[in-house]
Amino acid sequence: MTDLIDEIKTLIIETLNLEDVTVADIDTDAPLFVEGLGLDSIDALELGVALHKRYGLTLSDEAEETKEHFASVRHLADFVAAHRNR
Amino acid sequence: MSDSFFSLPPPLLSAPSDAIAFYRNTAPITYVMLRADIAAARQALARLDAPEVVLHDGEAYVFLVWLMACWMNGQTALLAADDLPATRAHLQYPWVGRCEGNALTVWSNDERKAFPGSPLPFDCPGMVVFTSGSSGMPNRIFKKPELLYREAELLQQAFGSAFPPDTRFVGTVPHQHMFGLPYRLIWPLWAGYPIISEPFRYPEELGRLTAGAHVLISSPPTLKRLAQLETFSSPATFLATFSAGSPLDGSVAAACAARLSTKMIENYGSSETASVMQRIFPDGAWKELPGVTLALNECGCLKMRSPLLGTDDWFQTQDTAVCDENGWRLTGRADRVAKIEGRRIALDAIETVLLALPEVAEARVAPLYRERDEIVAAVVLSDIGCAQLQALGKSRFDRKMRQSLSTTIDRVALPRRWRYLSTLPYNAMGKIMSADIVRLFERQALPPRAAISRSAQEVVLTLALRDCLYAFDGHFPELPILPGVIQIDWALRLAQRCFPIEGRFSGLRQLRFQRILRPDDEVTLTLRFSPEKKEVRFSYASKWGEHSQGCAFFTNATAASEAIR
Repeated sequence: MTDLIDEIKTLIIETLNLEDVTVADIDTDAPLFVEGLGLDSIDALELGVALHKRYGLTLSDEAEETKEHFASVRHLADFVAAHRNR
Repeated sequence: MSDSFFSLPPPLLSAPSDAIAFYRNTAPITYVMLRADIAAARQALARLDAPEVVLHDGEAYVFLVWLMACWMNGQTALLAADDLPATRAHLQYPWVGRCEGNALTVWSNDERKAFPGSPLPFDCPGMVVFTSGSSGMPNRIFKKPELLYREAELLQQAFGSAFPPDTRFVGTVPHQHMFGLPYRLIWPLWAGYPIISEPFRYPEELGRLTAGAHVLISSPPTLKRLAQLETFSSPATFLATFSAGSPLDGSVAAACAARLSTKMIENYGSSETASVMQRIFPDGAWKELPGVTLALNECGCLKMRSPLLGTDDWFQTQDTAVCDENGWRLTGRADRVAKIEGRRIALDAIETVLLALPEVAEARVAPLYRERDEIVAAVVLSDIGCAQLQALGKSRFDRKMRQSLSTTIDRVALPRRWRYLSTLPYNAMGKIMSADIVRLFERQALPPRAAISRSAQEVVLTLALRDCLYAFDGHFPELPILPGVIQIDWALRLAQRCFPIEGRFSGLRQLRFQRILRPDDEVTLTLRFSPEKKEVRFSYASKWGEHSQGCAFFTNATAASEAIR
């Protein structure tokens, strides 16, 4: 799981081309949006595409559920682990 | 102008009770339900006893019910684009919609009753929208319902003949803006098309629409990502897709047209002007809506007269354009307003907020249009700011600066990249050019790359040197060679993106440069991380063999001693 968490952190940094942010900088349990990393709605779209490409995931219909997946890197890793098909 | 403009959208009065007005999570909402909800919302709004209210609700159906109820009551609806604390402080009126702290969150189902088909009050100002003015202060724009209905009528005349009556309107854009509101809600309501209430935020969600004819209301940010998806399928038929907000790239339009089997239509307009002209991809020319006249002012900026302006005067935009034998072509903007992923962002407003921070002495922001549009900031720090940067390190200080702006500035407009300088790049004329700010950010870009393999301790990347020519600049004019320091810099920064490296970089060993790297070399970079030894080995290689290699090591250090990178 630690590997997947680091992999997702790399995916976030690479996909969003975050500058001066390292894997070690991202707190596994901090929120990704608004506070914490402070990502925005366009970042969410970009991440959605990246998750789709890398893991074959489709973001859920329910906006609330999607919000939960994006709550932190740990939530996202749980979601990826449970639903990935590649 | 006929009296009907001052009335309600015709289907609200005349559609059969069981006709479908909306779909909410695929469940139909009939006109009899819509009318009853509007009647109940009117009662609740009347009790607020306020001539002006702020509407903010994330669901299109609920929003439309409140809006119609406001108008029928003669109350003005202020459309807040967001509910940031600064927006709430700025708009001191009762807030309506499902959101914590609002004066009115729901209507009472007990008050759902028959719908009085009364015409709208003649003096109803209707609606107020806000938009970024070039001064940095939001402009207040009044819209009368009649102008929205007239826009709906013109759109229906121009495009509606291709849409059968059961065509569903679905949107990926917010409904409280002056593209989403007229296209997603007012047009279909006016023409009697069913509306899908929930927003489709992610492009792949369009796959869960049901079979049947749809019109998609979208924008370049979503369409760009739709074009990138590897797989996409939807049982829905997309008769047409409308895009607005920022220029739609031709290749994105072509990809989406193929993917959705749809006709791609780009709209040009603004909050002030409403729809002005449209073009149909792949190669249609811009075609003005009936009654619109376009011209250029002496600075090459577009101006117009339009039946949707509510006045016979010319309206001057800051959009630059040219007109040649192929018709109109939009070329950019003349003022300090940037378009970030379709949103109009006043650069002066961001700078004003930055300058008010104790950490900042001077600041200049600029738009950077790369894979995604973003705002970047060049800042001269005050003594307080310098001390904090020293203490926190750049990454955490960057984040703190973003946080400080986030209560007043739209999230999409928050600077995503920062440079802390001893002085801003003034030119010989004493001016700061946007291009000089942008150049500060292009220099340090990492090369475009793709991972061939990755594991917890090893990553292999291919690098596209050809797309990174700035790295070869001046080194040397006749014989471009990738400098060794850049090779080390890339290896270090990419390693920190791939591995959970604690501590800070403290040195290099076994550094060897065996072969020069040229722009055309197809090079792979291998990074191997050893958590026990706290080191990263890197090597650049191509079909010619190994070009360079080395080992970077890291030591734990307290934040206080962390050097400024």
